[in-house]
Amino acid sequence: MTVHDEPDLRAQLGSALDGLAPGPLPLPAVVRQGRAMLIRRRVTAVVAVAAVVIAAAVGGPLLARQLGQSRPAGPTYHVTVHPPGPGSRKGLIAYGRLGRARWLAAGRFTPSDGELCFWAFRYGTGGCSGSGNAPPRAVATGDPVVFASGDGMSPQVDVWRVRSDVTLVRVSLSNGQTLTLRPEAIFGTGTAEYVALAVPGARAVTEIAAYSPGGELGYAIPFTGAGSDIDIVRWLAPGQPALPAPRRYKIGSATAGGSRWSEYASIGPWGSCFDGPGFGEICDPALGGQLRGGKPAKEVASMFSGSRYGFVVVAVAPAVDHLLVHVAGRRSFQVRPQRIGGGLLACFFVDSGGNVGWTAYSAVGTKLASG
Amino acid sequence: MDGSAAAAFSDFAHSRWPALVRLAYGITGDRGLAEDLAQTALASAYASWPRVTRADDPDAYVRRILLNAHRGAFRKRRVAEQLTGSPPDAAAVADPSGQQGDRAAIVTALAALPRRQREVLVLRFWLDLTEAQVAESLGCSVGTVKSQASRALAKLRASAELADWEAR
Repeated sequence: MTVHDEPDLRAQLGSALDGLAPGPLPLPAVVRQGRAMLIRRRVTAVVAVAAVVIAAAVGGPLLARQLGQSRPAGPTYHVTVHPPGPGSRKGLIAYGRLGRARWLAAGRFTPSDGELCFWAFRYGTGGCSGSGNAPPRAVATGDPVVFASGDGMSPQVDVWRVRSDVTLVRVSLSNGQTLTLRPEAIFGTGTAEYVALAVPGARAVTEIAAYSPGGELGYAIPFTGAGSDIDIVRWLAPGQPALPAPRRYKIGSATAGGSRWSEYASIGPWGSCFDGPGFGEICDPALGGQLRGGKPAKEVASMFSGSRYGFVVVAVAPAVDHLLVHVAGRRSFQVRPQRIGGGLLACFFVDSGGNVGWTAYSAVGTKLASG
Repeated sequence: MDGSAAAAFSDFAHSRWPALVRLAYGITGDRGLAEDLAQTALASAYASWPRVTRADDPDAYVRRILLNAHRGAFRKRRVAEQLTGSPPDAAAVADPSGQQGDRAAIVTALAALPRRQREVLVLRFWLDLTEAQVAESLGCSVGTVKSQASRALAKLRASAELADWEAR
C-alpha cells in the first residue's frame, strides 16, 4: 500500500477515518462547557467595560498603561495521559508527562500478605492497604469514581477506582485541558478497574465526569480548597446545575499552646468539607451538615492536630438550641449552632485530646441527642 | 438558549459528533485529543449558537472552530508532541482484520506531517472540499492550499511508515 496518487489517498483516508467509531456524544459536558464559555465572555465584556469606565473616570495614565499591559498569565502546565499499550509493564494503569517530566501510576497485589499497593513514578509515592486474599473485585454500585490512592503532594499522581459500568472518565483541568482516562483492570477480568492522572496540584482538577457506553453517568466538582487532596465527594446527574455556589465559612477559632487554630466549612457543589491548618480535611456529601432521617444531631467532623488540639463539628436540626460539651477534667461549656449553607452547625475546640462528649438540648432544656 | 434552540443544538451536536471526531482524529492522530477537540468545537458552537444558525454553512463554521481549537491545543502541547511516541491507543487494540494496521499506518504517516499540511490533506481528500473551501476553512490562499497539498503528497509517497507497512 502506498500513496501513488490522489484517489489512492482518498481511499486510505476514507478507510482510516470513516471506520472510526467515536464514543458517545458527551452532550451534558458540551452544554456545560458552552455555558462556561458564555459566562466567561460576558464577564470579560463586563470587566472590560468597567475597566474602561474606571480609566476614563480616574484619567490616570498609570491605569491606562496597566490596561495596556499583558493580562495575568493563566496556568501554563500541560498534562498527557496514555493507557498501557502492548508490552507495557504489568500493573500499569496509565503513564504520561507533566510538563517535561514523565510520570506513571501502577498497582500491585501481593497474595502472600494480601496487600494492595499503588505507586507513582517520578512524583511522590503511593500507599498500601490490606485487601484480603485476592485483588479487589469489580464494583457495580456506589459512586462512579472514588479515590484509591494518592499522596496529596504537589505535583501529585492520583489513582481512582471506577465502577464497573464506567468506560471513560473525563477530567477538566484549570489550564483548559480535558483529560480522557480509560479504566484498566490491572488485576485481570472481573477485578476492580482504575484510572490515574498527574497534576501540578489538587487545585488543577476542576471537574470529573464519568461515562458508560450509553452516555454520561454523572459528574463531580471535587473539593480542592485545602490544596492537598482531590476530594471527590458528591456526584451530580448529567445536566444538573453545579450548585450551590462555593462558599467558605470560618466556623471556629481558638488560641492554645501558643498557636492560633481555625476551622473552616466549605460548602459547594461537592457537598460540605471541613478543614483547618494542621487538621487535614473531612468531607460529607450533605450540604451544610443537613441531616437525614429526622436525626436531631450528628457529628460530621472530628479533627485533631496530633493527639491534643482539635475541632469537633456537629450538624444539628432546627430543634436544637445548644450543645453542652463535656471535656474530661474540665468544666462543661455551651455551644450554639450557626447557620451555614442551609444547615446548622455547632463547632467547638478541644485542647485535651479526644476525651470529649456532647449533649444536644432544645430551647426548653429537653435532651435531644448526645455523642 | 430556549427550549427549541436547545433541541436544535442537541440534534445538530448528535448528527455532527462522529464527523467532527473523525476530522479531529485525522488531523491529530490521537483519539482522546480528537474527542476533546470535537467537544470543544461543539461547546463553542453552543456558546455562539445564534451565529452558527445564521451562518451560510453551519458545518463549515463549526469546522473552523475545531481547526482553531486544534491550533490552540497544538501550541499548548508542542513539547509533548515532540517527546511522545506514536499514538498508543491505535496500537493497543487487537485487529485480526488488519484494518487497524492500515488505519494506524496512514494516521501515523499523517501525524509526521506539519500541522498545516495535515489539515489540508484531511480537508481536501477526506472531506472532499474544494481548494477554495479548504482555503476558507484554514484562512489562507488557494495557492497555499495547492502548495501544501503538493508537498504533503510528496512526503506521504516517501513515508517510511507506509513503506514499512507495505513491506509486511
